[in-house]
Amino acid sequence: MAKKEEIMEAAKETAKKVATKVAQKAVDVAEAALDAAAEVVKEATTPIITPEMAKIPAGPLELKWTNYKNHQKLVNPANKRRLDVIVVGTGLAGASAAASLAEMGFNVLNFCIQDSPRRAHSIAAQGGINAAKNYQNDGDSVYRLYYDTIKGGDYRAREANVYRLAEVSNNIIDQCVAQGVPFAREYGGLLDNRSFGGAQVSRTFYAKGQTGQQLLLGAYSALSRQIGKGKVKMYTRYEMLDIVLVADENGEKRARGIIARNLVTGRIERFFAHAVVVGSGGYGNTFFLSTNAMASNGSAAMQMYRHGALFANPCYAQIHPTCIPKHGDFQSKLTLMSESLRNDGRIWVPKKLEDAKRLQAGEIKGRDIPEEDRDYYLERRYPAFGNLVPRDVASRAAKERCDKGYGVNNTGLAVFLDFSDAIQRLGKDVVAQKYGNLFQMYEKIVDENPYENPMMIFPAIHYTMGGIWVDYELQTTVKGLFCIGEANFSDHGANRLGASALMQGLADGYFVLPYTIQNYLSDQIGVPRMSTDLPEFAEAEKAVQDKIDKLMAIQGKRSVDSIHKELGLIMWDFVGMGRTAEGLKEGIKKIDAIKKEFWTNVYIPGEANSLNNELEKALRLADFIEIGRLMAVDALHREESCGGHFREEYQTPEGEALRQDDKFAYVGCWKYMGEDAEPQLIKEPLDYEFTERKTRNYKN
Amino acid sequence: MRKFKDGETITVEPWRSRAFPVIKDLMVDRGAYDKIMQAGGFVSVNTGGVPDANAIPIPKPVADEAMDAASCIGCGACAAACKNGSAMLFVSAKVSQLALLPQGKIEAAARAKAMVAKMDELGFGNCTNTGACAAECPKSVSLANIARLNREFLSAKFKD
Amino acid sequence: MDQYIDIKVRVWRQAGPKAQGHFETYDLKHVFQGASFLEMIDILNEQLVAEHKDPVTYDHAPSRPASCTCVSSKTVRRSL
Repeated sequence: MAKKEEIMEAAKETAKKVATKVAQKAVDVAEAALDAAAEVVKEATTPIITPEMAKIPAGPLELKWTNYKNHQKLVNPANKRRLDVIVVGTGLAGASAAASLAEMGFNVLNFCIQDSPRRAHSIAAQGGINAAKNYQNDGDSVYRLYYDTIKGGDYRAREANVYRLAEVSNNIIDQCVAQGVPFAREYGGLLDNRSFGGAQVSRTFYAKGQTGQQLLLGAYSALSRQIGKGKVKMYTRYEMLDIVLVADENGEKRARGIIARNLVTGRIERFFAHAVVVGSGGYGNTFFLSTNAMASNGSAAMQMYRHGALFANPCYAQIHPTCIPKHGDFQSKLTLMSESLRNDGRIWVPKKLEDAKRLQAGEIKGRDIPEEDRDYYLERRYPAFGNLVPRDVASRAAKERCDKGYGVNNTGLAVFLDFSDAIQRLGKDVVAQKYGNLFQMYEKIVDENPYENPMMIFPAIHYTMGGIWVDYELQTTVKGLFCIGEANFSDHGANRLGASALMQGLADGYFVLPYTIQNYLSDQIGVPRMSTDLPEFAEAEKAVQDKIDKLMAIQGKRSVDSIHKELGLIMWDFVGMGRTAEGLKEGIKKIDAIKKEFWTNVYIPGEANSLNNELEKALRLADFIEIGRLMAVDALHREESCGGHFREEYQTPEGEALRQDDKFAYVGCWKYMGEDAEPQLIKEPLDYEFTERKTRNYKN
Repeated sequence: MRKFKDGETITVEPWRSRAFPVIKDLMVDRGAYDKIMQAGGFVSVNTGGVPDANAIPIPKPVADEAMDAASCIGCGACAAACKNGSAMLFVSAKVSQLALLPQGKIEAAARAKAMVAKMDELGFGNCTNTGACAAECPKSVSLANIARLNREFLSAKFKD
Repeated sequence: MDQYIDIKVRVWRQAGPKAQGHFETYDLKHVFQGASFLEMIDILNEQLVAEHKDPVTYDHAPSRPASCTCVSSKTVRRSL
């Protein structure tokens, strides 16, 4: 009898276990079904931006811009002088826009944080500017420049915008030459060209190693002429701290001015305009260490974002492959070595791990390693493009070699850029002519002679493809608020080709905005100049003052820079070259912690109503923290690798970026939902009509 | 910092020049340089409607020399180094760059006059050919530019 | 090989355009010789901020390292 009961008991136990398992499985299946349903609902309810909303003209690609210009509304000359336009920023985009708008007859107010418009960060760009002139007769054309740019952007840019960029590129070169920009010339007296990463044609125009400076000086001269004539009112050492929106007769809010802080006196001032244009540059300094100038910041972008402009693709940050490696913890900025060096320099690391170790220990130098023991890894992996692969490809390749232990300096984070072949092939004089000033700069900083020993380089944050979303007219989602140059997101997709930043800044400022802003202003001619005593201006000023007072009152224990450095390290480690879901989630947690630390423990000396660089830095850092978090959130949601955004989980067996075109061929636009609230995602699908998406192949 | 040895005292002070008043500590107001540029440091051309970039060939040596003159970054070291506080190197660099190029040649005389007049008006001193400016210039702008400016200026005055 | 050095930095301090200026000397220890001049000033300023003193104001020249050694708004003299 006992045996029977035992068997029954055992059977009941087993039955219970099985039932529990089955029930659990049922719960699992139900949960999975719920998740899937939630995804479907999320997809269905994620707001979409259509081509109509983005104001993309209909018709064939090569006629869109012409059709736009033929049919747009204009402002007649007599009315132009009754309209005020604020331009924030005096880089390539800002200065060219301010000068062009003033030439046309608008009343321009131009602001910059530097002491002179000529000290905008564009001045530091070295390499060159692309245009589809085809002077070299090597097969270039507007279409090819368009194609190279959209492919280089990993097919994540808007076709219409990129085509327009290629279309006006030739006008830019003509304009600069007319301004007296001293581009390099060949012996016959015609303009010289060189090749840049991502292209198989020689389409880059340059002025020694200071193309950015010379282009900026051209725009600065044009701007100076207008200032001298009284057509532009120039406000140097002024920092925009907020935008003022005023509702029109239909209740729709429009940008009608800014609140700006005089950086010398600390005074907060109000400025009115019929439209506001922002060309404030990129947000690379979120990483603290970048190739940007120390004052470069993303605060203007954040102000636009908080007022309703969308922040698009923030995770697309470009890492430049050829920067001078970091040499210490105190370091406050990194030095860019122009990409043009990759024209003639060859990149390598030792083939043998022991050689790498000896280099790292300082026992041997680069020139001591024989030719056969050198791994020219870019030439090996990408025969068709060799050392001229696009920046993201070159940067990841350098990281890959260094991660495996083949780095060549004391930190193990450097690779060689070697000119010995070029010196042998062209002679030292020719190399000196082409790159002399860059070599000089390198030697000054590193104390090594690049003519005798290979240069050391390592990737660093350089440019941000992401930025404020704009439509085809360069207008944000806020009426009357325009965004130009690096500050906007539009033309480079997920990766910017070398020598095209300068092209985009000047395209926007000289040849696009002056047209499109007229379309907006044409029905504003009846709007009188508003008084800055309006409550909207007073409220905006008060909000700015409150924020400053709050920051000054904290009086904590940490300097602004110390917190900024910490943010930078988190960004580099978790939101840098190789991102993972785990890493990004960890990064977001750490950024949230930094935010708390900043708002409770930052110390700002001095007074707010005086020249106070620490306060300026604190205001900018508050925004860098927000941008950093937004970058991480965007990177986490984008489950693919493309261009400057590399998710370790999405790579080919050879370690190349693996796009998920079926799921992510869209612009990820983020909408501000309030302080400490998660931003909302809006998608602009990129349904290509004219271009086929291929795998970016630089091997053949 | 490789130029300095252990135990050294390094003295750091702002540019000392009448035309660059101190704002705070090491920060000075170099707006005078911008004002000189506004008086003539440009080619009078509007955006758009310009000839093709290769329409006017420029001999390579001329283009290179214009490039050297164009390297000036407007830092102010020249005026600060000069015992007279003269801005001739800065002014001559821009005048030279534009005078050398066909696009700038058209207005070269007027430009030289206007920029020199502005320079004088703003309180910069006179040039007595000391050469301290070129010695300090971080971009190696050459004294030859001052010679060229003098020629342009004289010929402009002569034509008046 | 780049070493660490201890230096004294004698800086012009002037509170405003109309204020009387004067030289102030600061001790700066353990400065890496590979650092640029501007980075040295940044290190000095970190020290001053930590001591709750007013940091030295200067124009951040744009990122042209070649001109870093002759930075806008400064002339440098050495004395031992």
